[in-house]
Amino acid sequence: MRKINNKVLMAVAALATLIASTVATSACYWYGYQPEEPKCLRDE
Amino acid sequence: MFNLKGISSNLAKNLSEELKFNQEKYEVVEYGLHAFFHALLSVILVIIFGAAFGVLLEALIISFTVSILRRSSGGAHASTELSCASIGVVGTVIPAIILASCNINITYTIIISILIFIVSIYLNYKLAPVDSPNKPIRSEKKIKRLKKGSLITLIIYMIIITLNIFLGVKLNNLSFLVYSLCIAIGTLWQSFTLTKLGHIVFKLMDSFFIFILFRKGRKQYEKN
Repeated sequence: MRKINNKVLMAVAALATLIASTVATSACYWYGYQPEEPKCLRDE
Repeated sequence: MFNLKGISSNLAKNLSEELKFNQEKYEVVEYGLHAFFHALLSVILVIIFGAAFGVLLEALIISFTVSILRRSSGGAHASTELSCASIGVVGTVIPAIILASCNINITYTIIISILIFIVSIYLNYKLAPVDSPNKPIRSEKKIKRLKKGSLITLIIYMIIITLNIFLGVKLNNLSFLVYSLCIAIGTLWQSFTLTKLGHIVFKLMDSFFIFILFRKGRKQYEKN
């Protein structure tokens, strides 16, 4: 049960990371709100 | 009032503790979750209000037109997720209601679409991408890529509108002309938010919704 839980959590984390990376390469992620981008994803 | 950032932070914290992520990884996961929940909230609100006013498909077309173009062009930003979602609802449902109740013909559709796209291409060429303090864009390479992306997106929209108009004439169905105008209006609104005037209007709408939602002035909200 713990292994399945861990796999689900890993999948959620992977999806969130994918979304964050997609947002980081764009100018804005959705409509008119932009939360502060993490430093590691900033294009500086 | 519920706090999307709080929800995504708590979820990211739980994930990080279970999976033993470091601070950097936690921030990335939190950012991704926040983005996902905000987009979901925005779409759900457009669906609810669009359906309530009988313009669900039109409102969704405008919403997705704006959001997809916004990914390359950027534009004015709201200061909270809820005021952003509210502006999104107003900016999509109201034009959808107006377009759905207008007497549309093919000549007006073509003329309006051409005018809108001439203005939009000019504005995106001159101004895109427009960044925000929370997501600065400094790399020349990225600026060029995003500007190119905006113009390519506009060209794709023009092709879709042309196909829609063609289908509308071929099948003798006015709905396709309405959908074409939805794409055009979404494009115009998004291009408008690139301009100084667009930023002023957006800020006014943001202040209005912050007052309505939080019963505070904008400056008071930012101070807190």
